[in-house]
Amino acid sequence: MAADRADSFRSARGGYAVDATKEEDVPQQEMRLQFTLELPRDAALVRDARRTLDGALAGAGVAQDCRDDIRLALTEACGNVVSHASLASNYHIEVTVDESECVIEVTDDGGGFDPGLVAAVAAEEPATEPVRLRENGRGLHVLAAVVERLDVVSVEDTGTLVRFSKHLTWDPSGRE
Amino acid sequence: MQVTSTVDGPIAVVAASGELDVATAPELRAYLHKLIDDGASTLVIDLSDVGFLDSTTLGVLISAHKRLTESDGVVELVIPHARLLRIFQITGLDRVFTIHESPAETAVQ
Repeated sequence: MAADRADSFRSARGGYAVDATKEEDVPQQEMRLQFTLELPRDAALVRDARRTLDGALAGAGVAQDCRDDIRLALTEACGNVVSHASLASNYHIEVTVDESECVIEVTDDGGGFDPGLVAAVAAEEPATEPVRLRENGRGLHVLAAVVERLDVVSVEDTGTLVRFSKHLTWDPSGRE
Repeated sequence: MQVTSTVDGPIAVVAASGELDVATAPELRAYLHKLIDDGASTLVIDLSDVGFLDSTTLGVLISAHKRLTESDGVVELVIPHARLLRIFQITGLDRVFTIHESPAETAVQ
Protein backbone atom coordinates (compact mmCIF):
# COMPACT_ATOMS: atom_id res chain seq x y z
CA MET A 1 0.00 0.00 0.00
CA ALA A 2 2.92 2.28 0.64
CA ALA A 3 3.93 1.87 -3.00
CA ASP A 4 0.42 2.75 -4.21
CA ARG A 5 0.52 5.86 -2.14
CA ALA A 6 3.89 6.92 -3.57
CA ASP A 7 2.58 6.21 -7.09
CA SER A 8 -0.50 8.37 -6.64
CA PHE A 9 1.71 11.08 -5.21
CA ARG A 10 3.84 10.93 -8.35
CA SER A 11 1.13 10.57 -10.97
CA ALA A 12 -0.88 13.50 -9.63
CA ARG A 13 2.08 15.81 -10.08
CA GLY A 14 3.50 14.19 -13.20
CA GLY A 15 0.11 14.11 -14.89
CA TYR A 16 -0.31 17.80 -14.48
CA ALA A 17 3.07 18.52 -16.04
CA VAL A 18 2.37 16.34 -19.10
CA ASP A 19 -1.15 17.72 -19.69
CA ALA A 20 0.02 21.28 -19.42
CA THR A 21 2.78 20.98 -22.00
CA LYS A 22 1.64 18.12 -24.27
CA GLU A 23 5.28 17.12 -24.40
CA GLU A 24 5.91 13.48 -23.64
CA ASP A 25 9.58 13.94 -22.92
CA VAL A 26 9.10 16.50 -20.18
CA PRO A 27 10.63 15.11 -16.98
CA GLN A 28 8.05 14.19 -14.40
CA GLN A 29 7.73 16.71 -11.63
CA GLU A 30 7.86 15.27 -8.15
CA MET A 31 6.51 16.96 -5.09
CA ARG A 32 9.31 18.26 -2.93
CA LEU A 33 9.05 19.83 0.48
CA GLN A 34 11.93 21.92 1.69
CA PHE A 35 12.30 24.16 4.70
CA THR A 36 14.87 25.50 7.11
CA LEU A 37 14.56 26.15 10.81
CA GLU A 38 16.95 28.62 12.40
CA LEU A 39 16.95 28.37 16.14
CA PRO A 40 18.88 29.42 19.21
CA ARG A 41 20.75 26.71 21.08
CA ASP A 42 17.96 26.42 23.63
CA ALA A 43 16.85 23.04 24.97
CA ALA A 44 13.23 24.15 25.23
CA LEU A 45 13.01 24.74 21.47
CA VAL A 46 13.99 21.19 20.49
CA ARG A 47 10.38 20.22 21.17
CA ASP A 48 9.14 22.98 18.87
CA ALA A 49 11.47 21.89 16.07
CA ARG A 50 10.30 18.28 16.50
CA ARG A 51 6.63 19.29 16.40
CA THR A 52 7.11 21.53 13.37
CA LEU A 53 8.79 18.77 11.39
CA ASP A 54 6.28 16.14 12.52
CA GLY A 55 3.37 18.39 11.57
CA ALA A 56 4.77 18.85 8.08
CA LEU A 57 5.34 15.12 7.61
CA ALA A 58 1.88 14.29 8.97
CA GLY A 59 0.33 16.78 6.55
CA ALA A 60 2.19 15.19 3.66
CA GLY A 61 0.85 11.78 4.68
CA VAL A 62 3.94 10.06 6.10
CA ALA A 63 3.09 6.96 8.18
CA GLN A 64 3.13 7.19 11.97
CA ASP A 65 5.95 4.65 12.54
CA CYS A 66 8.16 6.47 10.09
CA ARG A 67 7.38 9.84 11.69
CA ASP A 68 8.20 8.41 15.13
CA ASP A 69 11.67 7.45 13.90
CA ILE A 70 12.24 10.83 12.27
CA ARG A 71 11.23 12.84 15.32
CA LEU A 72 13.49 10.69 17.48
CA ALA A 73 16.37 11.16 15.03
CA LEU A 74 15.87 14.93 14.87
CA THR A 75 15.65 15.18 18.66
CA GLU A 76 18.91 13.28 19.10
CA ALA A 77 20.69 15.47 16.56
CA CYS A 78 19.37 18.65 18.19
CA GLY A 79 20.10 17.25 21.65
CA ASN A 80 23.74 16.86 20.68
CA VAL A 81 23.94 20.49 19.63
CA VAL A 82 22.22 21.69 22.79
CA SER A 83 24.35 19.50 25.06
CA HIS A 84 27.74 19.68 23.38
CA ALA A 85 28.12 22.55 20.90
CA SER A 86 28.68 25.03 23.68
CA LEU A 87 30.31 27.63 21.45
CA ALA A 88 27.30 27.89 19.16
CA SER A 89 24.57 30.40 19.90
CA ASN A 90 22.39 29.31 17.00
CA TYR A 91 22.08 26.30 14.74
CA HIS A 92 19.99 25.37 11.78
CA ILE A 93 18.00 22.45 10.51
CA GLU A 94 17.45 21.88 6.82
CA VAL A 95 14.74 19.45 5.78
CA THR A 96 14.19 18.06 2.29
CA VAL A 97 11.35 15.65 1.64
CA ASP A 98 10.55 13.99 -1.66
CA GLU A 99 8.35 10.99 -2.30
CA SER A 100 10.97 8.46 -1.30
CA GLU A 101 13.00 9.95 1.50
CA CYS A 102 13.47 12.65 4.08
CA VAL A 103 16.93 14.16 4.36
CA ILE A 104 17.77 16.30 7.36
CA GLU A 105 20.89 18.33 8.04
CA VAL A 106 21.58 19.82 11.43
CA THR A 107 24.44 22.30 11.35
CA ASP A 108 26.09 24.23 14.15
CA ASP A 109 29.17 26.39 14.47
CA GLY A 110 29.83 25.17 17.97
CA GLY A 111 33.49 24.34 17.69
CA GLY A 112 33.30 20.76 16.43
CA PHE A 113 35.02 17.71 17.90
CA ASP A 114 37.17 14.79 16.86
CA PRO A 115 35.13 12.85 14.26
CA GLY A 116 37.04 9.67 15.10
CA LEU A 117 35.41 9.60 18.50
CA VAL A 118 31.97 9.93 16.94
CA ALA A 119 32.47 7.04 14.55
CA ALA A 120 33.45 4.84 17.48
CA VAL A 121 30.40 5.82 19.48
CA ALA A 122 27.93 5.35 16.64
CA ALA A 123 29.15 1.87 15.81
CA GLU A 124 29.37 0.71 19.38
CA GLU A 125 27.17 -2.12 20.58
CA PRO A 126 25.93 -1.65 24.11
CA ALA A 127 27.11 -5.14 24.98
CA THR A 128 28.80 -4.64 28.31
CA GLU A 129 27.18 -3.48 31.51
CA PRO A 130 29.33 -0.35 32.11
CA VAL A 131 28.73 0.84 28.56
CA ARG A 132 25.05 0.08 28.75
CA LEU A 133 24.75 1.98 32.02
CA ARG A 134 26.55 5.17 31.12
CA GLU A 135 24.33 8.18 31.51
CA ASN A 136 25.09 10.05 28.29
CA GLY A 137 26.65 9.65 24.85
CA ARG A 138 23.81 7.57 23.42
CA GLY A 139 22.43 10.14 21.00
CA LEU A 140 24.27 9.14 17.84
CA HIS A 141 23.82 5.45 18.52
CA VAL A 142 20.05 5.94 18.76
CA LEU A 143 20.06 8.19 15.70
CA ALA A 144 22.02 5.65 13.64
CA ALA A 145 19.58 2.90 14.61
CA VAL A 146 16.47 4.64 13.30
CA VAL A 147 17.70 6.08 9.97
CA GLU A 148 19.14 4.51 6.81
CA ARG A 149 22.16 6.72 6.48
CA LEU A 150 24.00 8.94 8.92
CA ASP A 151 26.94 11.20 8.16
CA VAL A 152 28.70 13.27 10.77
CA VAL A 153 31.16 15.85 9.55
CA SER A 154 32.87 17.73 12.32
CA VAL A 155 35.70 20.15 11.88
CA GLU A 156 37.57 20.94 15.05
CA ASP A 157 37.40 24.61 16.01
CA THR A 158 34.64 25.16 13.45
CA GLY A 159 31.42 23.22 13.75
CA THR A 160 29.48 20.08 13.03
CA LEU A 161 27.11 18.87 10.35
CA VAL A 162 24.91 15.88 11.10
CA ARG A 163 23.11 14.62 8.02
CA PHE A 164 20.72 11.69 7.98
CA SER A 165 18.18 10.26 5.62
CA LYS A 166 15.12 8.17 6.22
CA HIS A 167 13.19 6.18 3.65
CA LEU A 168 9.56 7.31 3.80
CA THR A 169 6.55 5.09 4.18
CA TRP A 170 3.13 6.54 3.58
CA ASP A 171 -0.04 6.36 5.59
CA PRO A 172 -2.32 4.02 3.61
CA SER A 173 -5.39 6.06 4.56
CA GLY A 174 -3.93 9.05 2.74
CA ARG A 175 -3.91 12.62 3.81
CA GLU A 176 -6.38 13.62 6.51
CA MET B 1 6.16 17.25 30.86
CA GLN B 2 4.03 16.73 33.93
CA VAL B 3 5.22 14.48 36.72
CA THR B 4 3.38 13.44 39.86
CA SER B 5 4.00 10.81 42.50
CA THR B 6 2.34 8.83 45.24
CA VAL B 7 4.60 7.70 48.06
CA ASP B 8 3.72 4.76 50.29
CA GLY B 9 6.58 3.97 52.66
CA PRO B 10 9.62 2.98 50.57
CA ILE B 11 7.61 2.73 47.34
CA ALA B 12 7.12 5.76 45.13
CA VAL B 13 4.86 5.53 42.11
CA VAL B 14 5.73 8.24 39.63
CA ALA B 15 3.49 9.14 36.71
CA ALA B 16 5.10 11.17 33.95
CA SER B 17 3.28 12.51 30.92
CA GLY B 18 3.95 14.62 27.87
CA GLU B 19 7.24 14.78 25.98
CA LEU B 20 10.47 13.91 27.77
CA ASP B 21 13.62 15.26 26.16
CA VAL B 22 16.77 17.29 26.71
CA ALA B 23 14.69 20.20 28.03
CA THR B 24 12.82 18.24 30.69
CA ALA B 25 15.67 15.90 31.75
CA PRO B 26 17.09 18.17 34.51
CA GLU B 27 13.67 18.55 36.16
CA LEU B 28 12.94 14.82 35.94
CA ARG B 29 16.38 14.00 37.34
CA ALA B 30 15.86 16.35 40.30
CA TYR B 31 12.38 14.94 40.90
CA LEU B 32 13.48 11.29 40.97
CA HIS B 33 16.57 11.94 43.07
CA LYS B 34 14.51 13.89 45.59
CA LEU B 35 12.24 10.86 46.03
CA ILE B 36 15.32 8.69 46.63
CA ASP B 37 16.75 11.30 49.04
CA ASP B 38 13.45 11.17 50.92
CA GLY B 39 13.72 7.41 51.38
CA ALA B 40 12.17 5.73 48.35
CA SER B 41 13.87 2.43 47.51
CA THR B 42 11.41 1.27 44.86
CA LEU B 43 10.57 3.69 42.07
CA VAL B 44 7.74 2.64 39.80
CA ILE B 45 7.80 5.03 36.87
CA ASP B 46 4.67 4.93 34.79
CA LEU B 47 5.36 6.13 31.24
CA SER B 48 1.89 5.25 29.90
CA ASP B 49 1.09 8.87 29.06
CA VAL B 50 4.48 9.77 27.66
CA GLY B 51 4.32 10.53 23.96
CA PHE B 52 8.01 10.94 23.36
CA LEU B 53 11.24 9.99 25.15
CA ASP B 54 14.84 10.66 24.07
CA SER B 55 18.30 9.39 25.02
CA THR B 56 18.87 12.20 27.52
CA THR B 57 15.87 10.91 29.46
CA LEU B 58 17.31 7.39 29.32
CA GLY B 59 20.36 8.83 31.09
CA VAL B 60 18.12 10.19 33.86
CA LEU B 61 16.41 6.82 34.33
CA ILE B 62 19.80 5.12 34.47
CA SER B 63 21.06 7.56 37.09
CA ALA B 64 18.11 6.64 39.34
CA HIS B 65 18.59 2.94 38.58
CA LYS B 66 22.30 3.04 39.47
CA ARG B 67 21.68 4.87 42.71
CA LEU B 68 18.95 2.49 43.82
CA THR B 69 20.68 -0.75 42.86
CA GLU B 70 23.64 0.29 45.05
CA SER B 71 21.27 0.02 48.03
CA ASP B 72 19.19 -2.99 46.92
CA GLY B 73 16.49 -0.72 45.55
CA VAL B 74 14.89 -1.00 42.14
CA VAL B 75 13.43 1.05 39.29
CA GLU B 76 10.46 -0.48 37.53
CA LEU B 77 9.03 1.03 34.38
CA VAL B 78 5.53 0.82 32.94
CA ILE B 79 5.63 1.04 29.15
CA PRO B 80 2.48 -0.10 27.37
CA HIS B 81 3.35 1.16 23.88
CA ALA B 82 5.75 -0.47 21.43
CA ARG B 83 6.72 2.92 20.01
CA LEU B 84 8.09 4.05 23.38
CA LEU B 85 9.76 0.70 24.02
CA ARG B 86 11.77 1.03 20.81
CA ILE B 87 14.47 3.32 22.23
CA PHE B 88 14.97 0.94 25.16
CA GLN B 89 15.44 -1.95 22.73
CA ILE B 90 17.88 -0.01 20.53
CA THR B 91 20.08 0.76 23.52
CA GLY B 92 19.79 -2.63 25.24
CA LEU B 93 18.15 -0.98 28.23
CA ASP B 94 15.11 -3.24 27.92
CA ARG B 95 17.42 -5.84 29.49
CA VAL B 96 18.53 -3.52 32.30
CA PHE B 97 15.21 -2.20 33.55
CA THR B 98 12.30 -4.24 34.79
CA ILE B 99 9.62 -3.23 32.30
CA HIS B 100 5.91 -3.91 32.68
CA GLU B 101 3.14 -3.48 30.16
CA SER B 102 0.65 -2.24 32.74
CA PRO B 103 0.69 -0.78 36.27
CA ALA B 104 -1.06 -3.92 37.52
CA GLU B 105 2.13 -5.95 36.98
CA THR B 106 4.37 -3.78 39.15
CA ALA B 107 5.64 -4.30 42.70
CA VAL B 108 2.89 -2.04 44.00
CA GLN B 109 0.01 -4.35 43.25
